[in-house]
Amino acid sequence: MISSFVLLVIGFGSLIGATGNLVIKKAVDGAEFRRLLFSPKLWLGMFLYGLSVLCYLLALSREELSVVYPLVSLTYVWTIILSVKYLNEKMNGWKYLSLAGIILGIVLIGVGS
Amino acid sequence: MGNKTSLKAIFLIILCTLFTSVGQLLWKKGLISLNFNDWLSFLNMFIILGFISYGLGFILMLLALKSGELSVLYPIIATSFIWISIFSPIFFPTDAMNIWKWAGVILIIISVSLLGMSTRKTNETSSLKAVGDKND
Repeated sequence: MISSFVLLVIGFGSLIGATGNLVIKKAVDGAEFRRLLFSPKLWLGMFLYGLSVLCYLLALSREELSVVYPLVSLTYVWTIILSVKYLNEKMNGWKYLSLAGIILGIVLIGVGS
Repeated sequence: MGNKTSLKAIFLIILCTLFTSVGQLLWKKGLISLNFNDWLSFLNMFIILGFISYGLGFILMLLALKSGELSVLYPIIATSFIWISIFSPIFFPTDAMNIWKWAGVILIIISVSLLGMSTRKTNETSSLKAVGDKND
């Protein structure tokens, strides 16, 4: 069975990664493409991305790849939640369905691990 | 931005999936030989190659999203879950799949595909698609 430490690291890492997504989206929305390289938001987003990769590697050093890799799909769940909350994107039936499906899929992998 | 996803975008995203999956296997291989008392052992060849492969996959994804729709590309990206499930137990004898894990993986693939479909319904952009739009 997967350890709570690994779950916690993946949960935290995927939230950081999704936050990175959100910050990069804000950077892209707010700036001309050519000036993007000078956007502090873009670099903050990249930093958060890097941090989430380090969390992933930490989890991967403690648990099998076929367990850790699918759990990273938690990033999609965080991304849906964050973009509805902070980007005023709309929820719809498809999103609810995929949210529930990903969470159930993660539970199944947890049971099988 | 056109409505149709070009063959080029599909080719790029398949290549992206390949590099991303190979990156995972390289990382795992490198992490197995990690010595936690020696921080420099983190910089072994497999982990560095893993970063290169993962980085290439990331760039390919950005390029693909520039000229493709999420509803087509997300399901293809999600196939990387299948490749990992097949190849991880082959390369790493301690890893094994079972019926629960397969059920979970298939459910996640379907769900990620549905998420791609949801962009078709609402016509809203994701962060990465927006990168492509700006670049067009």
